[in-house]
Amino acid sequence: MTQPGGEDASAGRGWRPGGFAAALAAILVAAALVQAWPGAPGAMEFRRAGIAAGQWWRLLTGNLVHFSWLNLAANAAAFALLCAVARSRGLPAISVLVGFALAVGLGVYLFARGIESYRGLSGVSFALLAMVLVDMALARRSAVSAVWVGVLALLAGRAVFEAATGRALLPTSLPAGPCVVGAAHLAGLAAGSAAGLAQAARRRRAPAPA
Amino acid sequence: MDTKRKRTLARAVAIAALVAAVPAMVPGPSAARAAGLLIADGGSGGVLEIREHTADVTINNGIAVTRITQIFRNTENRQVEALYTFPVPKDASVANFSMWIGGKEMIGEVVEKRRAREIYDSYKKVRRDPGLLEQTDYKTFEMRIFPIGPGADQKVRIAYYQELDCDHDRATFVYPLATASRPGPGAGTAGRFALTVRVKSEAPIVAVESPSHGADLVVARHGASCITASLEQTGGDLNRDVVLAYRISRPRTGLDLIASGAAGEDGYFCLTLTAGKQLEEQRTAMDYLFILDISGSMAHGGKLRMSRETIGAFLTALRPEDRFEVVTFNVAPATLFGSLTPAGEAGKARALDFLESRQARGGTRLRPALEAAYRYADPDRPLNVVVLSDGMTEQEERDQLVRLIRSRPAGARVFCVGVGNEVNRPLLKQLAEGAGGLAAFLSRGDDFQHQAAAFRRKLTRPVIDDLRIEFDGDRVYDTTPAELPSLYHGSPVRLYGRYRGHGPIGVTVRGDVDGRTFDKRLQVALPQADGSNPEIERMWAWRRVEELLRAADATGSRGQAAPEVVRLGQAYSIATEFTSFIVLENDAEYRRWRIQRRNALRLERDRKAHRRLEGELEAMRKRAEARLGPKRSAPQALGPVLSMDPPRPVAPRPQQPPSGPDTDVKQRRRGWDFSLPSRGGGPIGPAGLVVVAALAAGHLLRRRRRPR
Repeated sequence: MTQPGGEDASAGRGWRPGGFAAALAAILVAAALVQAWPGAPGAMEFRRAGIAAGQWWRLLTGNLVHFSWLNLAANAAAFALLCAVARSRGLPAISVLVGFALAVGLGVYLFARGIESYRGLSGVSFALLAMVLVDMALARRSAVSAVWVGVLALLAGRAVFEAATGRALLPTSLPAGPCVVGAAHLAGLAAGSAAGLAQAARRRRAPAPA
Repeated sequence: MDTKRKRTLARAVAIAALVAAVPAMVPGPSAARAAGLLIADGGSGGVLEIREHTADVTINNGIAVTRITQIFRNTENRQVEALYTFPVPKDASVANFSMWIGGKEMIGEVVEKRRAREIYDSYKKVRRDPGLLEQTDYKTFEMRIFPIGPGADQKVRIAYYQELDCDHDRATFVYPLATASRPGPGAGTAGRFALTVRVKSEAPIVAVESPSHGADLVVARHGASCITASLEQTGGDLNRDVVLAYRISRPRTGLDLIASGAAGEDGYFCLTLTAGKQLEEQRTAMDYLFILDISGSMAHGGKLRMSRETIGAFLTALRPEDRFEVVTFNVAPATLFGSLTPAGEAGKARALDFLESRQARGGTRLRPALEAAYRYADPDRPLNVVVLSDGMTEQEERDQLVRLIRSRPAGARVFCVGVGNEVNRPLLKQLAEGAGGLAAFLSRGDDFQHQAAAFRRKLTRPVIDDLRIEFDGDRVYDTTPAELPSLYHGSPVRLYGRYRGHGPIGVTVRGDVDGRTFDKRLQVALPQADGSNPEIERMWAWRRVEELLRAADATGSRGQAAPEVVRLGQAYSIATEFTSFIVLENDAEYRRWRIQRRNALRLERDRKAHRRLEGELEAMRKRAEARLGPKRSAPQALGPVLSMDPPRPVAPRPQQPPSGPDTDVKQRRRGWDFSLPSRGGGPIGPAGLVVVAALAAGHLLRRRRRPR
């Protein structure tokens, strides 16, 4: 069922409000526990050599671990807000996370070959943001749509700059040492955009309301 | 020159023997002498006047060649014996000594030390008061010349080579003038003092400054990678070091290669590995233990004051998550807190008060302080022990220190900071490098804040541990050092070596980055010939000598290294512990003693390269000048009348490289970038959070307004 504004309430079907909140809380608590557990971040981070040796889960779990509590707090806050926005727009927020995480992990693995280890949830957050922006852009065929596309293009430009230089364009929550991996954000933006477009296509195929 | 003086000079054959007399680490009591001071000696005292003091410095990719020419005048109404003293800075190798005899420059030659003594003694037996030049300790040279008649001038020239200290991409050249705390006689020049520094760098030079002389040192830029700095004064104070610092920027990690050699001969190369800008520091919470030497020797030269300032600068750079402790020592150590204390403002202030209350007195026993420092090691945090000392300890303790350094606790590194010019540099370097750390040497006039901040950046962690650079095949040989130090941010690692043949060669850089091994393969090009960097040949030989002596020290005897050191010293004309410079009156005397004029030939080649570099810089300078002022149209557009004048180019054409073996140099690629495996993160920053929060808030408001 397509709601005014193009939102599809059926997209979030399967996750009741309580279930959604519990799943979101579970992810955040897991991220905090991993951060607090000595040795866990190292065991779960994206590590190129480990992945090459068959530890494929690091592609996914690298998104859940962080370099510092500040890094975790900032990423978790953005992630939670974006999940809520996506959910409220009838977009799949929880069920696509594994796909997003995998896309980010693969993006780093394939396109950031100088990065030996990677941590952070921001790639997934960028995917959620892109999905929301695409959805907003396609919701109305007007000048406002162009604004959302422009925002998406700006985000992509920033990610390209960061991927090319390894430097953050804006202040980040990272401690000094690890660099910003623009490839992770680009991969997230690509995956999120694809998810947003797929969602729009799905809506078009859905029967019109009576 | 009058006949009488000529006769006198001829009679008193001017022999200058530069003898590596005291290889020991302990300098004798330091006299109050300014650099290049010529004083009248022989019991009655008196001072000769410095008429002219000219220093001409060429810095080619961090290797400095300093050529000093001085003219002294005997202002007394009597014949005097001149004692010429010259301090050679940090880790420099003396590569030439000349003196003017009968108005002609006589270039010294290097011969085996004992033989030089024999030659010197033979002159001394038959002729009174010959000239003598000798190394009085590991960094000071003395020369005696007799006689200098009343009102007569004496001209001398010395050249030395050194690698510049490079600290966080900031290379610092120090012209050492302040050798003692109190201004001694002759600390100024009655005539002209001129210093010219020409800098050439493969990496772009982004900033230049003189912490010691500020705007008095005039800097002219000739493009992105060449500068000239000059200082000139008359009747000036020569009791203050001249410090020139320039910053280079290498955006990416990579190798730079410069080479030297003639076609058909095996060449020499210097490979520099630099950590790029893209690698930032790791801001891990750390423990710091500052050990300050307050022994009597620190009272001289303002060392204690400079050390206090340096620790103060270090403390300023500490972050609240760091912990620190201060230990002072002379014959026994004393601690400030008794435990590691968080680096808050109160703790820092207390430390500064504590340091201010310390007086320099007593003997030097570093070992108990270092042992105490090791007890602070916490297995969960890295411990950086920073020793500020002049290293003037007893020989017996030095051996114990070297053993102690090797048995340091896990996670502990020792960094040594030598303050002032009279520092036991070899010991401090040995201690630091043996303990996984670094040694830094601060001169008066240095920018302490900058140095401390840069040193702290290096303290945090090395970029590459266990560094190795390997070449394919067997074309490259005799590389030095055999074991490379860790690569730190802002401190390049240099590898010297020799090669046969030319063309591309595979290089593998291996190491440990962030606890993980990596290797990177590159193809670099070795030139067929290059005549523009002759200094690296001597630097290669000097590094080989150092390595041989270090290896010999490990076995307890330097004697076994002597034959090879003598061979290198003579072949490359460098003064070492086993070789000396000797200057004879004329070529016939050299022939008589069967001394080959190797240095004269080498010097001719060096000077040719020097002139070529000067020419290149001059051409750059003229091009830069030609761009000043309003732009003119091209000469051919000025019409036929003006074209009758002799052609006057708007800007001089760059000097063409000489034909022959040097010609492939200009177009050759010399730098190769690569990426090190690094850590990366996905961060959301404050701006991102605000945008997401605004998006969420806007969405929420819109939904609330929407009619249900």
